Amino acid sequence: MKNTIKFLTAMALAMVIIPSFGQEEEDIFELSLEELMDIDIYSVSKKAESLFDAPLSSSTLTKEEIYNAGATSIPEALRLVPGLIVREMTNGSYDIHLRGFDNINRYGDGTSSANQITLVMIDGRPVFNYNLGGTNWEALPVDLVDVERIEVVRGPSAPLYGPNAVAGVINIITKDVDQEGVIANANVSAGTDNTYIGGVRLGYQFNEKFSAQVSGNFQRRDRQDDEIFLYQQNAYGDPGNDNFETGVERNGVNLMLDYAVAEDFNIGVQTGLQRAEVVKPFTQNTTTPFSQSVYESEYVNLAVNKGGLAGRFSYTTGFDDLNKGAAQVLLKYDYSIVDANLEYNWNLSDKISVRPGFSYQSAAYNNEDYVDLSQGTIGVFQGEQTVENIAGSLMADIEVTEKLRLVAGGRVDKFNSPDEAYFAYQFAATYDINDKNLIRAVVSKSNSGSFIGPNFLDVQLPPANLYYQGDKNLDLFQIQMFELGYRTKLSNKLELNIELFRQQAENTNALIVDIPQAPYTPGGDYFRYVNMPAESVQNGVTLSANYVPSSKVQLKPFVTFQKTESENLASSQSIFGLADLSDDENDQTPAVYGGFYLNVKATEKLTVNFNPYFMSEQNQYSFYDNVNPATTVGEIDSRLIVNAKVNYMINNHFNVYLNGRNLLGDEKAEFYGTDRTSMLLMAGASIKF
Amino acid sequence: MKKLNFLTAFILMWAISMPLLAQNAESKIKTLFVYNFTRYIQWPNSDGNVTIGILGNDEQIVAAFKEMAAKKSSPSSKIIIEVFTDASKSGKYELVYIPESNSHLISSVSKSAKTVVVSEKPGMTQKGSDINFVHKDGKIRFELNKKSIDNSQFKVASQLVSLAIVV
Repeated sequence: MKNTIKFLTAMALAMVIIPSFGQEEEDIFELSLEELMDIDIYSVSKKAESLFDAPLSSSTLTKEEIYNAGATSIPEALRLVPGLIVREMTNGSYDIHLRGFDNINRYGDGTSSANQITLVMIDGRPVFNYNLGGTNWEALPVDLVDVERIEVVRGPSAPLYGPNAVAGVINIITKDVDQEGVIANANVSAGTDNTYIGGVRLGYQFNEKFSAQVSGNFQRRDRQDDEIFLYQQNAYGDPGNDNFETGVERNGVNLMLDYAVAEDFNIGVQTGLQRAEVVKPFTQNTTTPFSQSVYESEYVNLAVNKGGLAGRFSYTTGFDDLNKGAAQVLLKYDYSIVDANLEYNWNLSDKISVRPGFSYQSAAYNNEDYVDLSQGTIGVFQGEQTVENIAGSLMADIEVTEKLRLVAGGRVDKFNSPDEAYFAYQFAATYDINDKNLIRAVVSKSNSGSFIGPNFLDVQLPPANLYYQGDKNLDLFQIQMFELGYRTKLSNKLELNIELFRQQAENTNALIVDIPQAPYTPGGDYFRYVNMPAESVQNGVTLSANYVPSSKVQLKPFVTFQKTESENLASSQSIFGLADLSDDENDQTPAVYGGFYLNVKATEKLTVNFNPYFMSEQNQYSFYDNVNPATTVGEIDSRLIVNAKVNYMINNHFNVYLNGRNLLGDEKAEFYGTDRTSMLLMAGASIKF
Repeated sequence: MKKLNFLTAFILMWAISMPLLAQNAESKIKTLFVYNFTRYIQWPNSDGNVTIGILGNDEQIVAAFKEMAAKKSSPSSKIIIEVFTDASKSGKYELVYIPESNSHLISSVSKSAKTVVVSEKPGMTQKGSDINFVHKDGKIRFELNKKSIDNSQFKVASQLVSLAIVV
């Protein structure tokens, strides 16, 4: 609570101080003609429009804001976006939730508490793990050097983006080559804890029609905690080996080509590869919540836009080892994902447009090269398994009157497993009270996709007394949302946005311990996936503002208050826990979280940015709470993370900066049993031609 | 109840600390478009300075232009903003801006071949404006009147033409 007060006081102070700065001009004064023409966003209803008029709750984070704030990675940059809960687990590795619904069933392993319900995309291409659900942020091929902007849509959005857009969507939009001839930009920095981060991008516009760019990125970051949480001691202690010294090590390379065949006909091809090795809580581990994971992948994405027709085809292939160094391979596999969609934007009149769409996705995961039961190497599934879905969607956008706009959409996904069709819908209405005030309402429902693990988990080894089984008929997780929003331009310098939401979630699944059936006997492992009875209801409000008192100052404060209650919560992830249900608050999602972005151009050359982020206290859970009910490792204190960056512009092409993350230096864990992260100080330079 | 207090405090802070200076953001953006136009247009015998005449006194537009000029002028290329009401005197400016509220005055504008006329109402290019702001898909776009520009003495860079809706 003390930190809550500190946070709000800081916010108040910032607001009182700011109006006393100069009043000469807006930040927009720095924009080029092309940038002026492109202030709008696309994600929100897949139709260009201003953020103010968007029917859904959405935010856009620009490359300038990310640079000014000093975010060191894409996930860290999300601390600048309303509605996102971003917890650092080790130097450079983050857990990210959109509005929460964290770990509803509480007593699973690291996988259960990871976010499996937010769809992350790069230029519309899903970057999602279809084995267990969720996004491995460290395994993105692109990094901040590639990012033009990040668009976030809060709330169920499957009709527009497909399954897994259950809590919302995070779409990372990459940069275009926006000028003739050569462009180059690079940003490198180094800091404490052996932290080295860099990105380089080179592009060339051959002529008005054709451009190409190549980029590379790397991060290497040591953990900041010498110790590691050890289950056996119920305390942090010496890890006993140096496997856990490096927190994140990642590299990526990308090539992007763009060809404008004609004015309304564009072809883009992107390809790239990445490798990452990261320490993070993921699979169950008997020593510590941490595992070492390795991710490698390559992708190719083809996007074609002709007139109203938009088509995209992508192919991703890769390798994951989610528990490197473990005695059993369990989660080591190759995968290949095909994702294709085609949409047509059909303007029936100036006031009515419809957008029919068709999508296909196939995700095949194969561990046959790593598993050999006859040799005693066990994987969680045997051979190749595939989840597939075919979908049709239809969106309609209707301007009923000059003031009233309705957006309605539906999508049916037919999965191979479960062999069922799911319907997701979204109805949104906006009403312009006048050009400065807008109210809106949304009713939507979306479901997750189907994942390999819960469907195809299959370990049957009677001699070792091991039995793990998936279920191909699990109901898919879903959220239904009601939302009311209000946006107002209090002046040309100040915009305010309020979102009130109520969300209901059901159909979670979990791997539970069951009573062994012959030939298995008590004393071994006997696990199977089931749908869990828990249902959660969340009520919340997000407030955000954008205040630009002058060209020198910009302030973007945001805060979310929420409460989530769960019914029919099992007391453990076991057949006995399922017989012992209770209702309780989901206090794993913080009741209050938010921050602000304050950018001050102190002089022509010197820019100072201050961007604190706050989360109130949380109670996090895992299977370990059942094993050792006395543990307090899941009691996470409220956290105020103060970040600041000072940038000095030497000339139009060259900048140097000092960057401080978590400047208060509280050494506290933000996630169950993970690192007590501390202050990170960095110095760096950026070049742009 | 504590949460509610925070919420109230939060909203109150915003309400109290914000000066409610009403200025239209769109006008401001348009002045920046105009600034960019001046960089892509070459006037005959130009000394580097650009004098922009605003037809009719539209306070909001004038304030926005003055702010832009204050910020974007440099010693070698000054942007001078003047307000005038006699449309027949348009010829003395490099660029004449006709605010939407004064669009009807276009018929009385007597421009010289070196004056660029910029307007902000649909259909104004048909009435003789050289560049006209329009809205398209929620964004600001501008039309370029090819015929009148071809007949003028100023030159428009191809980069500007490539971004325009040529009519």
